[in-house]
Amino acid sequence: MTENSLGVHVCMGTAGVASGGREVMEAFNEELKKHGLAGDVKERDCKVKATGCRGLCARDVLVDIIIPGKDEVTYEHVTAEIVPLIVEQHIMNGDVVKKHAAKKDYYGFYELQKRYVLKDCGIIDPEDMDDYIGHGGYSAVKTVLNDMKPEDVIEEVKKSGIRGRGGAGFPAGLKWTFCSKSPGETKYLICNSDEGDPGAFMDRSVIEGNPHCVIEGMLIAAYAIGCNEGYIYCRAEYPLAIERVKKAMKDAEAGNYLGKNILGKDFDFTLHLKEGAGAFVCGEETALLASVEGERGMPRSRPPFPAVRGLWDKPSNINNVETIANFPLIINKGADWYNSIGTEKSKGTKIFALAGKIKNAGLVEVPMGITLKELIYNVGGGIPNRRKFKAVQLGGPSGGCLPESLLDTPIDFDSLQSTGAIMGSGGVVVMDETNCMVNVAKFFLSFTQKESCGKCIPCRIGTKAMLDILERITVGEGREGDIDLLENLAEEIKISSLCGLGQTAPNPVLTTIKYFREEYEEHIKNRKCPARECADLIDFVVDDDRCTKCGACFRVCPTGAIEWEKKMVAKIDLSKCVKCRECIVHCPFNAID
Amino acid sequence: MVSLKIDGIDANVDGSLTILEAAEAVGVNIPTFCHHKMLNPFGACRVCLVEVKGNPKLLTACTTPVMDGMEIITSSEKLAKIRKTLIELLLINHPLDCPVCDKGGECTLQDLAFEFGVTKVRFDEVPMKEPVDHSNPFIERDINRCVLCGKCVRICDEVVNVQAISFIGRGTDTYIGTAFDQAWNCEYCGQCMSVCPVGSLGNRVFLHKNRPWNMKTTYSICGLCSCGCTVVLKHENNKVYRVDEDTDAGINHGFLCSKGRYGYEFINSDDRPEISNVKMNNVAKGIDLKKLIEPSIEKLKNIIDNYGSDAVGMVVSPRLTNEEAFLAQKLCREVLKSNNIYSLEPVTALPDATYDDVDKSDAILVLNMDITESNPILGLSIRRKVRKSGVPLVVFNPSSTALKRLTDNIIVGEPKELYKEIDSFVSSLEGKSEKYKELVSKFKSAEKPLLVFNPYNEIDLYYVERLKKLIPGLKLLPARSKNNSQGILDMGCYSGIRPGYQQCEAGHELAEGIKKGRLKALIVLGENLDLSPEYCSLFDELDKLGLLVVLDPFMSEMSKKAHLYIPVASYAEKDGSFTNFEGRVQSIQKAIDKGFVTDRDFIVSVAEFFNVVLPHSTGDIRVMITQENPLYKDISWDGEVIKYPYLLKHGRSQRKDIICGDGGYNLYPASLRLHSGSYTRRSPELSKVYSEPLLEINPADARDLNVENGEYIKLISGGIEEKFKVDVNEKMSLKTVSLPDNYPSTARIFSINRYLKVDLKR
Repeated sequence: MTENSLGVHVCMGTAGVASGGREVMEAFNEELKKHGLAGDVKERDCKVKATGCRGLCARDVLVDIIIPGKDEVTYEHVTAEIVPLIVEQHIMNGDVVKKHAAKKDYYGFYELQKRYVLKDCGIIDPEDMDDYIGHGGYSAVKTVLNDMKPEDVIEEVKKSGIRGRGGAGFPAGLKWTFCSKSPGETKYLICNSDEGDPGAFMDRSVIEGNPHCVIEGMLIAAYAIGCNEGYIYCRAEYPLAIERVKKAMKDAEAGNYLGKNILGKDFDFTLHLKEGAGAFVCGEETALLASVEGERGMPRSRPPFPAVRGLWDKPSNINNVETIANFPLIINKGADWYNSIGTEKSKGTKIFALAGKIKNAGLVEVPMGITLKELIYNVGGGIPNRRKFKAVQLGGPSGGCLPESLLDTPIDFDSLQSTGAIMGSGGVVVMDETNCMVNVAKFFLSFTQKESCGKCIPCRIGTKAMLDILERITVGEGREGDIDLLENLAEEIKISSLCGLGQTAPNPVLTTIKYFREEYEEHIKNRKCPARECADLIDFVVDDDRCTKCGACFRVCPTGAIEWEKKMVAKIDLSKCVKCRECIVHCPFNAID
Repeated sequence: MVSLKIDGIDANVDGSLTILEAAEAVGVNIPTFCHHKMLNPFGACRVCLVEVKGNPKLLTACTTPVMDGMEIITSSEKLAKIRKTLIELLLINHPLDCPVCDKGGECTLQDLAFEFGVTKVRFDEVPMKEPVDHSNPFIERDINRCVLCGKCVRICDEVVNVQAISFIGRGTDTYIGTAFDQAWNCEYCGQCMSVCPVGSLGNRVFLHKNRPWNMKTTYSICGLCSCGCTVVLKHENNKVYRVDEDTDAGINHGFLCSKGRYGYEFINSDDRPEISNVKMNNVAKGIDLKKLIEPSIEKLKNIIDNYGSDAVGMVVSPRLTNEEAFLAQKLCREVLKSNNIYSLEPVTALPDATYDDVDKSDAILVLNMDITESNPILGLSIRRKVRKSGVPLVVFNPSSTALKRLTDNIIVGEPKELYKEIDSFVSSLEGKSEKYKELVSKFKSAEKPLLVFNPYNEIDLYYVERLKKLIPGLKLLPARSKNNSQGILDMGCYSGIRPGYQQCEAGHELAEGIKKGRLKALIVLGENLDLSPEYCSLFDELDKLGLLVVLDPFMSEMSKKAHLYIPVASYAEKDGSFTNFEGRVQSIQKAIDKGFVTDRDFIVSVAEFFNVVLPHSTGDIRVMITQENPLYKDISWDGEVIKYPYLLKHGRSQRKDIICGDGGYNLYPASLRLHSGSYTRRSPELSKVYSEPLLEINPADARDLNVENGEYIKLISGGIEEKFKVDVNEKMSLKTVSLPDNYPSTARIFSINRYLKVDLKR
């Protein structure tokens, strides 16, 4: 792209593609051709570029129009139909189409964020290595190879204070030293991109949006530790990420950034891609190693730790994708700069995937120390549909649910741990008053129970025993003593399980019991679900006093079980009701019990 | 060395130990479930969790290495609660079958529930209801009782290296099964069943026949092949109900093979005659032995008077103990004054290497043997060594073997081609050929190279001698076949060799003696010439004998020919010792008494008729052996290895004609894993799986001949036409077929030569 050229950046992250990004891109290409703007001969040429995720997935497809000399404009909810209008009015005639342009709150989304790791996502074409280099890519590798010794790199990363972003929060620099110090010529570096948490898409967006920064981060780590071979372990359910990282690896190799004598220096690094095979447990590092070795993905006891005996019994270092993506940043800007962000014990930024009952669902990057309230209300835009906040689940199935009273908790590893939750890998699910916390615990536990590898007794059978109890409670068969039984069993499973899956699977149960015990008691003692989510405990009767006769329920009932006319209180015919709960979900006044 | 504290007790142990091993060393018992001494630690059951001071996490004792200064607590309230919960969780799905489960009384789940005080289960029980799998002939599989400890999977993987079963599925849906739920495709060794802590993998030969608290236990040495495994006989009322193992006893570390484990029924067989002599119908059991044999002794004395002592001969089989073999030799040479003492074992190669040498070896060559079939436990030790240490393993065999799972260096070919390859290997060692340059360099540079070979194959001995000269430091392992093949030779049961291998006056050559009528009386202790390729052609000539005495537990074809047949005791019914292929002398214990006389009783009785008192008790015989056999002078009879005066005897020349006959297919003798000689053919469960001799053939050849698995095919060789059932097996080389050589029908085929060209017709 020349200085004079226009840029049309279309979000082609997975959410963008799912919202119709390909059709939008095609439409732009067609329209621009019609107006004679595509191609290279014109005075002002225009390039339509696919970029990675810029964060506000709720507003996809997002398109940035970049005209030199003018302000960058972002359009939201772009479809192929409105593209001709944008091209005609804005690109040709310089007149912004205000109706479709992003509103003020779009920019408010970015106010509290610090998009350092994600800085190139949404700007560069993830399949174009030159674009990455043009934006400063691979400069950190050059610095490291030219000016630093491996020990210096380790020191710098240690000084930065960065802690693992995969969930455990172990200081990355310290972990590097274990592997670096292990005896042996052959060492492996592994990038954990399994991202098994349901609803988490931080790692996905990084790889899909900027795969080269992951390669660069791995090069830095490999050089520091002394690894000449590495693996990216990416889950097979991310086909776009796999496609993009494959291309990036190929291009990097062609550009002498991978392979032998990288950049002419005495440093070799061969990178392989290993696809996962659909197991959440393979995000656990020893199960991941087993999977790479072609074995059944079952975790192994530690000690010995992978840093001493890892892949094929050789010292190995495993880092999460987001952690790795931070390394070029730390080298480029320095550990001191990195230190200035975040809190005393939790440095840098964290990427979160905001999901659930939240207006601005999408990918955000915030400095450590921001409070939950700021994350949910300022960045996230708060709860939609005029509902009330009830709880926020952090850390996916390994994490915990925190109530409103803890919204002032700063987001850092230690503060969150003291509440009983964990930072986790970055999944944030917001819940409102229509979410039943017992059901939430059941949902997460059923996931971990299905994903349990089955090797150890407490996780394999214990989580099933807990799930059976929760299922009884949610269908109205809870018994006296169930809550204590759950708590006792949960504690025992936590301390006796072999790996992180079993050790953290009870967390949703424990935190919901801790903070929402009354809800459990309602289910057991009174056979009632206050949030009206457990279908067996709902009567499906409209309360005459609360019903505002709006007819919303009537419109959504799939079986016609609701009788309603204008100015009438709605009535549910139980013989036709299938308990789908659409009426409850859509009633703005919580009038159905 | 590392210092640590376990429950307050100071321990000073090697730094390579785990907490569990260190605790064992100081006498502290930590409960385990999924742990097994011979397998890599797994850490799955969590029963062995212990507290370590300063560590917020609980650690599994089986996997965690000791560290200096560790303070370990193996029992506390917290640990007690967890252990209880773990068993409770297992009891959610485990059916309460104890009253009808064979494992009751020796079940780890029962034991731990008892130890941890699990009196109730706080959770709703959901027993599984999968059908029981009866498809494996020896192993009953009840998946409902499985606790997923993984020991069966791990032993089949790490020790046996067959990987027939694995974990399938995930979470609570995990079960242990075969690939794609196909039929069991394994060797039926039963290692998996032996390590199952609950009643999930059961012994079908034992099924529902007895309860562990009823049975007595006797340790002995297996009486089948030359591996010399320690077995634990479980018996009641003079019937052997089961053969168990003990991980801590014997050179087999608790591993047994399918015939050792499942083939014991011949001991209890109803086929064991109680009558002595077919013609005279004397009941041998309980009868006065002297009265029984008196008429035959008269005949014997007559023959000696008329024809001289050298018309009498004795044939000793490896079924005999060392003590009996020694007495037999003494009876023949000193009482009957005859030099005609025979056995069918060659003295050309004597023991050199032991199992320990396999464990220490850094390069192993298996020459022309299917070692996992002929000597399963030796084969197992080779598999374990190669799996653990990745040492180079080279195998020469007409067809592929089970060792192909551990090495790519399996060199196969029909006999002539195979020997060409072996020649190439030797030439490469001499530097004259490039073909096996890389492989031979591994052997030349090895510090402890090992050669496993077949001492019964004359042709191979030529190569063994060459290899011994060319590979420095090479240890030799002649893989003998029967339980006391080595011992009877040590005791001088060989014409011209005294106990301890000193030379003495030789007698007639056995075949010549029979053919030319020089032998008029033959006392056969166990041997069945009908099954010997070398002597079966003379079988009918035995009718010429004036006196034939046969001692055998069964009425074999040989027994039928006898003037005097005496049914005798099996290995479970007598004391004594066996010497295995290592030269290791191990004692056997009498477990049961079925009222049969022993070979020893007979020999001593015969001597009495000649006014010679031979020692009868094991102790007395051993005293005499130490005096007369210099090799056995100072042994304790409890597992020492004898040092032999030579390794190989008689320089050999290379034979020109390896194979003879004409026809389109090459036949060679197979080793059978499921049978050892003829006794195991009397074990019904074993025989159900392998009854008649099977002709193994390659699928392509089978297709050419238009014959399918299980169908019959006609084999034509040297004037013999015989039908055999076909076993189609892709391990077989093209145009190469095999048959076991010790069945009456097959022995006659192989009597011409070891390797034959034959014709096959549908």
